[in-house]
Amino acid sequence: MRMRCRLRPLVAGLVTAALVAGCSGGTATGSEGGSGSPKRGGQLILATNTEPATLDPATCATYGWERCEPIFGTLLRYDQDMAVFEPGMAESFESADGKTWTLKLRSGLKFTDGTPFDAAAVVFNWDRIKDPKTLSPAASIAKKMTWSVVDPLTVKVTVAQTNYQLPWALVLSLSMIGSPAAIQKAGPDFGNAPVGAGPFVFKDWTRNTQITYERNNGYWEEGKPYADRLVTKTILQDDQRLNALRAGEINVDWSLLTKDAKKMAAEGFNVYKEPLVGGTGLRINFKDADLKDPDLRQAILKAVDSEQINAAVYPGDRAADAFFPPDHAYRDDTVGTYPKKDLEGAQKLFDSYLAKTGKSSLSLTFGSYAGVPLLEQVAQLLQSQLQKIKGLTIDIKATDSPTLQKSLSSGTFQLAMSGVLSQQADYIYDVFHSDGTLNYSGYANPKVDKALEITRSAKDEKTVADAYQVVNGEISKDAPMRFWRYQTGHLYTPKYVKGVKMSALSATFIEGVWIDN
Amino acid sequence: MARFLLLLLLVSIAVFMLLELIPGDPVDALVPEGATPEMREQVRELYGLNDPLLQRYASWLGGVLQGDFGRSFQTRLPVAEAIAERAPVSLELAVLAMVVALAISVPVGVWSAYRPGGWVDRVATLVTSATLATPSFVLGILLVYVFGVQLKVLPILGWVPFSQDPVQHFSHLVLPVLTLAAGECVLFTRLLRGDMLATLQQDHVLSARARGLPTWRILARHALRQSSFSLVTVSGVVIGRLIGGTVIVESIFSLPGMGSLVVNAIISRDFIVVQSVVLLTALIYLLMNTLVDLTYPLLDPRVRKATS
Repeated sequence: MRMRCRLRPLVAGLVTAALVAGCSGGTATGSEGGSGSPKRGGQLILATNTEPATLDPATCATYGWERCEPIFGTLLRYDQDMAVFEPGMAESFESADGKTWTLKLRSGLKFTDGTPFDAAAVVFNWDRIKDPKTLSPAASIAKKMTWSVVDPLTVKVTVAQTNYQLPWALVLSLSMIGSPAAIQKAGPDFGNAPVGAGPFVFKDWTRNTQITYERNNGYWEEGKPYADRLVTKTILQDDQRLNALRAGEINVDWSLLTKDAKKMAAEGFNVYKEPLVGGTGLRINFKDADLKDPDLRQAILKAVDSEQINAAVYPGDRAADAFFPPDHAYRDDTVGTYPKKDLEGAQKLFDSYLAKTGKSSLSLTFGSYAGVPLLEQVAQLLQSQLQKIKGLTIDIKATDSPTLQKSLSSGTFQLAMSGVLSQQADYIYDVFHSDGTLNYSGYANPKVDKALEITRSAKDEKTVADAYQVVNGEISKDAPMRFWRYQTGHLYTPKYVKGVKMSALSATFIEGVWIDN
Repeated sequence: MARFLLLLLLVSIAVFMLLELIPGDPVDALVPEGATPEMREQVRELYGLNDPLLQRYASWLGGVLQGDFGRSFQTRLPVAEAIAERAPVSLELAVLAMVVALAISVPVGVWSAYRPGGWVDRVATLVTSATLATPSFVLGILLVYVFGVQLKVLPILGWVPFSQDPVQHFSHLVLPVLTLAAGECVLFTRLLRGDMLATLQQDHVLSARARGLPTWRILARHALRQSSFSLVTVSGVVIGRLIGGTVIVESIFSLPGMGSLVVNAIISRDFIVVQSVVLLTALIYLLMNTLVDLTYPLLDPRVRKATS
């Protein structure tokens, strides 16, 4: 079950980048997303398959965004349809050169304990994230930034390398600011009794079951939040959440399964979709003694059959044939796609690998998740597909998520199932750049490095898109991570729930959701 | 008493050692992605994971003896608090399931034995065989679908504290209790029927019948009491099992019980929670067994005489 806490957290990012034309996410089918004038009152009950271990914003902004956004709000928001960053708890975050940024806060904002939400509070939270003792997943981003208080409502932020994608951090991992007074008072227990200035106030938490929140009457946004009360429930199984939605026990449900989305639309529920970047895939360790050989890697990639995996495990999903989907603005097939399924070619490459190394056969270990039925099926299918190469044996080593994660981050795996999923393209910098913090494959391709650097340093949309096309082609050809499907995040609600806009992490900014009685 | 404490001590040692054998490290579940070796080392220090095994065991046991179960690695909350929050849920679920199971299985078992081959016996055999073949997760989901989704008469999820709303409290418990009770019902009915059949053949029952005592009196006083040994013994074991082992039912109905606490703790390598819950469950088992032993003399005077 830790898997829940690890896989979903990797849903770490936002909408397919700001800059992509023709890739607007957040479409609602059969719904009237925000029609009519919002009404106040009622209770929203949201369910997902997992909850974070803590409500400390330093961790939770990355690993449990939808549980903490109600308490803290976010400094910035992102509007998918318009593809722009919008003000949130902060008024603006701007830069002329992509290196020096100015964060302007709202005047008079207060945390629910009455202390001021000011520049000092932001800096206090960010310093805490940077401190290794906090064990914040956002530390890797914070480390590349420096900041200082200019005046009570202004923070100056500097990054060493030009990065026009930096606002994402203020929507995601650095977005949530807790009350410094409450943090100092509670110490490590702050994650169990969080205090913020967001639309709701934390009330109580029954672990792995539910968190309840009540309206913050001092919230800065006029009229919001619309609901009086919010409950977030943790229900592991997708089918159980759907049943709870049908029975009226929850009114916002989350899922990544296309087959469920089709079912719920047919049953008359509102279905909100958001295309995601990445997913769960086969990761190859380029630094492994065997797999450092390009022939062997290509042989393996040519044996993968996405169509078969999707037909068996994820009916209704599109089989992946490159990192970005076919109609994506970041895709240019002339640069490269995933190696096509070609068993004969795979065998030839594998035989040449054996001849080169003087081996007669090869056995590789494939780390996978234990206790997650769908992924266990995928692991077995992949095993049988790869073992069609004569002389190759694949040993599945199924472990729980933290153990698998350890083998990835320490580089002690050969092949592994691994998830990197986000709503925004910028996160792939960390996965595929040779200096990336999540580049567990040890992948180093100068063309990719250069193109990824351009995606951050360029302001012009076309230049960024061109650079991503190069990245897409190269990482598809080499495939340090080979995905089998394009994932979509979904939210389902009954018709009477309105104002849902897909936003960060396949969640919605809950303060804008209302119940039409 | 000494044996009782020795057993608890052995259980605590066994759990401690078993957890050491699980592959994986609590640190893996605590550090964020991309953590540096320094971060990992710091976590080891913070949680005392660098201390020798014996020292860790001794300091945990020392705390427990003083009523301090320590703090969860994952949540930083006192373990005693987590248990205090969840134990009442599991206890109530287990006790209610036992009550329901006994309330159904005792009359059915007795009557089936009294009229073997009669319609009650035949229907009971059919129903128990069908229930026996249905795993609890299937039954739970079936009940959810019928009563929650189709008929919409009962809530299918969650837990409402009694103090908040007594009616809601019990209506949320109906489906989980039925799911749990079903399996135990089968066991109890079959056990009781078998024992009753044997008892009803005995001389004292035949003589009671010859004396013209009413049927209910013969069944309840003369036969049932004597046939309850196995039932009482098994009930003691079952209630112990129900308290810690209802994880499937907890998961289906989203109930905050001890089962899900311990499973989540094992997966996230939150050893300190696992140790404490297992110790507590062992204590409940032992108490139940002692209680069962004390019940025997009440059921059969011969045991009383033998022990006196």
